[in-house]
Amino acid sequence: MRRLLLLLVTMLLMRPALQAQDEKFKALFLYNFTKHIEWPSEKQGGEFVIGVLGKSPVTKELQTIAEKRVVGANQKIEVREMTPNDNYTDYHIIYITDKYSDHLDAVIGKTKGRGVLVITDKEGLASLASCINYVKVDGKQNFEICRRHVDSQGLKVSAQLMTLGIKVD
Amino acid sequence: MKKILLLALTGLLAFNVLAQTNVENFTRKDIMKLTYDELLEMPLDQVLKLAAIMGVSSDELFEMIMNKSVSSASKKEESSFTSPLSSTVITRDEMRTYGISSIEEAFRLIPGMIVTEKTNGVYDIQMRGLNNIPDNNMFLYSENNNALIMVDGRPVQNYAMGAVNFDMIPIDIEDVERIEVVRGAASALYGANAVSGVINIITEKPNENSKLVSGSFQAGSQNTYVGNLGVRKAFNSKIAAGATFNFQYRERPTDKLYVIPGQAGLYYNDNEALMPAAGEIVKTPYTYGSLDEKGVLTLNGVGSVQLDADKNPVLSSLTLEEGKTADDFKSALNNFMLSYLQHQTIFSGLTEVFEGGYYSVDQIDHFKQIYPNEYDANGNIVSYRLFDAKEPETPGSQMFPHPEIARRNIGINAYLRYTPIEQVAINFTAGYQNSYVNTTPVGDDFFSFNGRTSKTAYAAVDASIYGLKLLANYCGGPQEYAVGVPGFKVYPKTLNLSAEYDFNFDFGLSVRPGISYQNVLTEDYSPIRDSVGYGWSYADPGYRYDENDPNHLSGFFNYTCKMTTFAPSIRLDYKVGDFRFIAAFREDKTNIPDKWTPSWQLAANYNINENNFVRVVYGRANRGTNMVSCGSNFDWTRTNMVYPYKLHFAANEDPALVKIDNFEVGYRTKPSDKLLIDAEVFYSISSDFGALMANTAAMQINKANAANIAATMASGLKIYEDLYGGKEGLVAAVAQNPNLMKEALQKMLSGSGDNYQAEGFDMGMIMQPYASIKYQKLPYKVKQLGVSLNVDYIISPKLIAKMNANYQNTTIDNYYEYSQTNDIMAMLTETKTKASAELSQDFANIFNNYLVGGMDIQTSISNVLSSRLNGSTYDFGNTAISHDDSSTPKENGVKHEATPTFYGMVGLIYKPITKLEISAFANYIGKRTYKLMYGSTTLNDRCTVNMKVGYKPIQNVEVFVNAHNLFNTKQREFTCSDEIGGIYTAGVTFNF
Repeated sequence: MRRLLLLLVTMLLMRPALQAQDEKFKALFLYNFTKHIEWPSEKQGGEFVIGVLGKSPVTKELQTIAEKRVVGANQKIEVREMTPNDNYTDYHIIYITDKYSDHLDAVIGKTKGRGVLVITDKEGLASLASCINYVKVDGKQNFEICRRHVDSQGLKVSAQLMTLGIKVD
Repeated sequence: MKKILLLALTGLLAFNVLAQTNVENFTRKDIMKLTYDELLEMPLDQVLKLAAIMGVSSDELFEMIMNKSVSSASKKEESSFTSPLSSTVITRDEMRTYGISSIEEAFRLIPGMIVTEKTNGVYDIQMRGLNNIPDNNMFLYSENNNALIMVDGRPVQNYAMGAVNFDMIPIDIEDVERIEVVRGAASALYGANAVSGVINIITEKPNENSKLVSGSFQAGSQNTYVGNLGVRKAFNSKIAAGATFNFQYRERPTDKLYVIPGQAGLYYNDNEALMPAAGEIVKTPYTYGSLDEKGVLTLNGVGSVQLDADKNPVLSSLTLEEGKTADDFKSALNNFMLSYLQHQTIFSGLTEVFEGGYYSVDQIDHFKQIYPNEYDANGNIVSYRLFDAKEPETPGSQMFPHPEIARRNIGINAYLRYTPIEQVAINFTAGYQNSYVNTTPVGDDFFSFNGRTSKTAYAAVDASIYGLKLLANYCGGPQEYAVGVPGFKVYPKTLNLSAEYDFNFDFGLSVRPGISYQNVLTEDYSPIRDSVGYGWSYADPGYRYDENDPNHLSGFFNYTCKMTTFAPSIRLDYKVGDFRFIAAFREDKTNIPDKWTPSWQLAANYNINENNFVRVVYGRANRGTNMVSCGSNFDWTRTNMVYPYKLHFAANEDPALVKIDNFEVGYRTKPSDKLLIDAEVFYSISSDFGALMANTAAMQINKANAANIAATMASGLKIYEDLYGGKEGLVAAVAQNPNLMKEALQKMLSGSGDNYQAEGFDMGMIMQPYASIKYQKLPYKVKQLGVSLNVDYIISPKLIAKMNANYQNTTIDNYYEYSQTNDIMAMLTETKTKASAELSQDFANIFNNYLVGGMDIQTSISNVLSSRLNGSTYDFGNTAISHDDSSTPKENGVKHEATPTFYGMVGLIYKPITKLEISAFANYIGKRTYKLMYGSTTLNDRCTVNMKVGYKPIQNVEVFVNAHNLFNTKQREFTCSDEIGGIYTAGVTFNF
C-alpha cells in the first residue's frame, strides 16, 4: 500500500519534460503560413491579430512565438482568445479548435473576402469551407489547403505552400 | 550537443539538400532539444518533416495509452477522455505488452475489477464486489453475477445459474480489439444484470488495415499451452473476412481436491474395506456393559465377572442377576465383544477432516460422515450412524475425469464485414467453443472444485444503416455445470434482437429510441439419450412430469423454461457549450417475474477545458432472473447421506431481482499530454438480494412401502389383541391407558432399527425427512462507498507507467445471519413434531375404526393413509416456512468482508531499445472473508507480480518469456481454491 502511494506521488511530482508536441507544431505551422500568404494592403499595417476560437494549448504556443517574432517587416503579433460572439473580422488569422468546428460556417459568413485566413482542426473541413485544415496522416501532423477558399477570403497564397500541404479542391 | 545541432542547422539552412537528409535523421530526442528560436528559423518544409518524426513515434504511445476510443458508455464511438461515464478501455496491444494470456487476466489492469484466480487460468471476476451476498449459502453466490459481460453487444450471461462463466466465451485475445469497462449501474443502456457495470469486449473486424496472419503461442510450466491465430483479409473496399482460432490447455498445480474446512462429522479412512457400510448403526460397547478399573466386566441386566490379566473371565467370580443363566451371560458377552470390535473398527485409523485439505479423488470417494444416532438418559452416545459424504451414484471418477486439468478449451470464430457504402456497415460473426474447466461447484459440495463443460455455437449480425443500428444474435449448445452430477446438464438457447435509431438535431440534441427482445430457452432434456445415462431425460418439449419415466427427475428443471424480455428504451444526449446531459430510460417486461422493471441513468458532464473533464452520474439497475431462481424443479436424492433424504429445489415464479441505485462523481485530467488521471467516487445502495432458503418440509413414507406398513400395523395389532385376550380385552386396556396404542405404534415402527434419535427423528426408517428450498428475498440493504483512481503516465518514450487503486467500504444494513443449513434443520424439527402428532392421531383413528367401528383392519389403514397421499409419498407434518423476518433482530452497518476494502495494481513498461520491451505489474488485493455453507474462510491480503520480457528480432515478430506470479507466491486468491504458484512460459507473437 505504501509503495503504491509512493509510486503515485513520484509519478505526480515528476512533471513531464515533454511539451505538447502536436500543439507546438500547429503553432509553428501557423507562423510559417504567414510567410506564404499575402494579406490585402489595408491589413499589412498595425498589429497582426491571431484569434483562437475555443480553449487550446495552441494559444500558449502562439503567445510564445508572438514574443519572439514579428510578421512581415514589423507587424507585432497579438494572440486573442475568441468567443463565438466575436465579430470575427478584425483578425488576420482565425484558428478554430476542434470543439468549435460547428462555428466554421458562421466565421466564413462574417469574414468572406475580408482578408482573414481561417484555419480549422477537424477532418474534412478544408473541403467544406476552411482555407487550411490541420490533419493527422498516419500519425503525422500535416495540413490540408484549399486554394479556392483562400482566394474567396481575399488572400493570396504562394505556390510553395500549395506544394507543401495536401491540396483539397 | 545543442551547439552542434545549431551548427548543423545553420549548415542545413545553407545547404538545402544536406539539410533534408540530416533533418530526416533526427530522433524525437533531438527534436525536443531544439529551442523555439531554432525551430522558428526553420522553413516550413523542415518543420513538416520534424512534425512527421515526432508524430509517428508519439502516435504508438498515444494510441495505446492516451487516445483510446470507447463506445459502450454512450453507444457512440468517442474519445475515452470525454466518455460520459466511469469507463476504462484496454487494447489488445496493451494486454500483449503486459504479458496477459487470457481475457480474464486483462481485467487485472482495469480499475474497479476484482480479479482472483481459482486455478491456472480459471478466474472469478467481480466488478466492485457485492459478491458472497447472501453469505452462509451456496458457492453460486460467490460467482460474478453483478456485471454484464458482452461480446460486441451480445450478452454472454449464464442464464441458467445466473453468473458469468468466462470459460464459455468463444473468443480470446487475438479476437479482441479492445475491452471496454463501464462502471456503475447501466441497465438503462444494456438491460438486466448490468448492476455494478458492463464489460463489452469489442472484437477486431477485418478491414483494409488488418494483418493477414497474426497470433501468438506460448508454453510453459504447469503444462500451460496457450495459442491464438487470426487470418484476416479485405477482398476489396467493401468486403473483408477473417477467421480466428484459439486454445488453452492449463493444468492445476495438483490433481487433488481441496476439502473445505469447518465441516463437523466428516471423516476419512484410507481402508474403507474395514469400515461399516453407509446407513449402518454402530452401537457403542457400553450399550451392553462396562469394564471398570479393577477389571470387573459388568454386562447390563445380566451379571458381572472378574477378568484376569489376560482379559479372560474368571468363571468362579461370575455373579448373575436374578433369572439369568450362564448362557445368557455368554450371549451378552458376544454382543459386547462385537460392538467393541465395531467401535474399534470405525474409530481406529479414522481422521476427522475438520481442518480441510487436499485429498485425491479416490480418497474423497471414501469420505464418511459419522453422526451420533442415539443418546442414553445421561447424554452418552449409545450409537453412531454412518453416512456417505458424497453420493455413491456419482463416483469421483465420473465427476472428475480430469482432476489435473484446470482449463481446456478451444474456440473458432468467423468474421465477415460488408460495407457497401460509407453509411452502411454490416458485420456477420459466427463461432463455436468447447471448454472443460475445474472450477467452483454450483452446489454445496464438501470439496471446492467441480468440472464444467460447455459446447456452444453462436451467430450474430450487427448492422449500422445510416442512423439505424440492428443487432441479432443467437447462441446455444449443451452445458454441464457440474460434470458427473445428475441434473446439471442443460441446453440453453439465447436469442437477442434489438433495434435503435439515432436522431441528431442541429442544436446539439441526439435522441436514440430503441427496442430489444430477448428469449432464453433452457431445456434439460434431449431427444437423444445421453450416453452416460444421466442428466437428460426423454421428455418431450414442455413435458413436465412423467412418473413412469425413470429419467424424468434427472434434470434440474425437468421442462422447458422460457424467459423472455421485451424492453423499449430511449436515450437523450444533449450537448450545449461545454456541458453535456444524458438521460436514458429503459423498462423491461419479463415473463418471469411477470412485470415491468424500470431502469434509468442520468449523467451530466462538464468539459472544463480540453484537459479537464467532470462527470456526475446517477443510475438505477437490476439483476435479471435465472433458471435456478425461477425454474428449478429438482429432487436431490440423498440416499445414505445426512438428512434430509431428499432435497427439492423449487421454483419461484416471482423472484425478487437485485436492484441498485448508484451515484458517481468522476474527474479526468491530462496535466500534460503524457499523463492521464481518472478518479471517481461512488456510492451505491443495493437491495432485494435473495437465496435458496428453506421452503417446505414433510416426513414422508414412500407409497411403495404402504403395503409393508399396513402389514406391520396389522400384525402389530394382532400381537396386542393376543396380549390383551382378544379385541374386547384390548378395547378395555386402551380405555385404561389411552397411550397404549401410540406406544405400540412406536415399538412397531422403530423395529427397523434406524431412528435418527440424536436429531429427534425417531419414527424409523420407514419415514424419511424431506425438505424443499426456494429462492426467496432477504431484507439486506447493501451500501458501498468507494473511490477508484487510475493513472496512465508516459514518463518517457522508454518508460510507461500505469496504476490503479481502489478503496471501498461495503456494509450491510438490515442484516441478520441467515444460514440455509440451520433453517432447514429447524424446519425439519418442527415437521417431525407435527408428524409425530399426526401419526399418533392417524393410528388412533385406525384403531377406532377397527375396534369400535368394526371396519376391516386393512381397509381402516388404507383409508386413513390415503388422505396423506401426495404424489408418490404419504406426507406427515407438512410444514411451510414463511420467511417473515420482520421481527428478526437485525443489525445495521455490518461490514461485508468478502468484498476487499483495498485492491489495485501498478505496472511499468520499459523499452530500453526499440527491439526490447520489459514489462511488469504488481497486483494487490486486500484481506477477504468468505462465509460459505460450512463456515467461513479468511484469505489474507496478497500481492503478486507478473513480468514479461519481449524481444523483436524483426518488426513483425516478438519472442518473449512471461512470468505469471514471478515470486511463486503460494497463497490462494479465491476461497478454498488452488495455491497456484508461479507459471513461467515462453512464446512468440507475430503479425504479417
